[in-house]
Amino acid sequence: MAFAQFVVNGLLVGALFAAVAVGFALIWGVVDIINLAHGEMVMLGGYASYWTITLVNGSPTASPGLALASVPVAVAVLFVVGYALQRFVVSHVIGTDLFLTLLVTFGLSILIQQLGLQAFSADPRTISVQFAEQSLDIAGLVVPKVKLIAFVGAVALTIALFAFMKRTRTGRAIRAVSQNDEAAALVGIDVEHVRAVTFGLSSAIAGGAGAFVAMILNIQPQMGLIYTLKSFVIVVFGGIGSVPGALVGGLLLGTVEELTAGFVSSKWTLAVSFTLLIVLLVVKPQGLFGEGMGGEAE
Amino acid sequence: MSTETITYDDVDDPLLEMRDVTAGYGNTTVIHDVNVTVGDGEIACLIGPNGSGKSTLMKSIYGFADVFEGRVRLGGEDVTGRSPQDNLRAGMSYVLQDASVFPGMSVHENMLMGGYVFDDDSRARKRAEELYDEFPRLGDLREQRAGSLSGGQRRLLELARALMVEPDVMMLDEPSIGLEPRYIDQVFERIQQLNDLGTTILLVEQNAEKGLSVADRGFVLASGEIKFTGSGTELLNDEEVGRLYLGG
Repeated sequence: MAFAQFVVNGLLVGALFAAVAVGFALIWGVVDIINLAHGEMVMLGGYASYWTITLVNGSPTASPGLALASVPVAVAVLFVVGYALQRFVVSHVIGTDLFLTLLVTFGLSILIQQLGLQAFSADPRTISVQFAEQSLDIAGLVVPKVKLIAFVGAVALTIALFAFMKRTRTGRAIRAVSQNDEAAALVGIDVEHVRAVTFGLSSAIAGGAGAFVAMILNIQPQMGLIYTLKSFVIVVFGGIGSVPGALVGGLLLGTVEELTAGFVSSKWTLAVSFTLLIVLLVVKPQGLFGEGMGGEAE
Repeated sequence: MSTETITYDDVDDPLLEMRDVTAGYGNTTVIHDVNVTVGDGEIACLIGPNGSGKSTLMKSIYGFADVFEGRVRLGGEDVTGRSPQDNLRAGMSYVLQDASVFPGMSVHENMLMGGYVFDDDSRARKRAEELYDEFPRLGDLREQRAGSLSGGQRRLLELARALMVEPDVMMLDEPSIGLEPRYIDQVFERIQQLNDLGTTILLVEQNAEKGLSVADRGFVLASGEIKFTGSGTELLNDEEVGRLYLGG
């Protein structure tokens, strides 16, 4: 039973990792940037949701409805932040040296953290979602309602992004740019705009995930790094640029970490995750679903 | 035969004109003071050695390269520096020299991307169906991933995709490059058919004899400058052009 409980816990938290990683995969696949500031989008999303609820309610305590209503706010705010970052900063280093793009996004990460510290202080904060009963009992397994909401929300964000990519005109343009940017310009796609929209979508989904993170964990301005690292592991697990791969990779990583924490020690979770990453890179470098480095976003 | 043999003023009904165009990329100038005029309904072929600026000339027309001086006109309208989106909407399309399909998309999705500038998808779907009637082989392959097509099939897809916008003028950069001889003949037959239907063609072709043989008008570009102009036949028969550029 303990094993099943750890797996359930892992899947619940893994969906959030997956939603964050899906955005990371999208930027990597389309814009060809490893965005080291991606975790900061999770942080900003958490604060956007936290402050929305605090402004409406006067405190960070919310009904499930209000908590859910704050998620689209975080998504919208982070879309604008992501679009602007790409258009005014990152676009200037696209196509240059990989090291330069890493430095720029690392610099952005530090800058956003510092601005976060100035604006929000280092105090950890969380959104308290009020339920009559905090947990469900399903076949003897404990499922916290707030984590279940976060799980459903994160999966919904990921599926919505997948559907957007497959079914909309902008989604097709994003896929086109990821596969052949010169050909995309040839058929009349504004490549710079599409890249900025992609960055915006990636940040938006990370921001939405951040809103859910704020409901189940503490948020603080320097929380982003761990989400960037986990996203990196998940994207390599799932395959570069593969949205379904990121979803499966996220669920897998969450499960592995919970099993490690449950049966070994929580101190070993990152070590086990990165060991798996190294093994996978040696055995199947293209990831579970991807086409290897430079694969397309789908 | 010289640059004075045919000038832009000799063309009765010019559709595409470059006047004194100097163009390149960033700080690098590739073509200098170029004058090219293509009449409505003509096939024009641009030949020249590798690195002479042929592709840059086309890119400067389409908005992919920077025009530093001079003007580009389409149907009398100044289109200098206009974006590819606007050029497509105005009836100009372009097929690149390099593979320009979207390899992870199906043939049909690639065709629909050719109609990306249309305001509604239904128009693109309708136009794609019309083109499948003209290119039945593509219709048969519509669900196949473009990345798995042969070189000839890919070239056919690029041509058909460029026709999605029903262009008045079509620019083709090295349409025969990398193709087996049987596909080269098919591609040139198709170019001739398109021209017969009224599409004006500007062609860059490494296979100079093949290109000039179908061309109403030819231009020889070397070191970024137009060195010779004339009808396709005149250039093919010119001794100096033959010696320098046709291997004769």
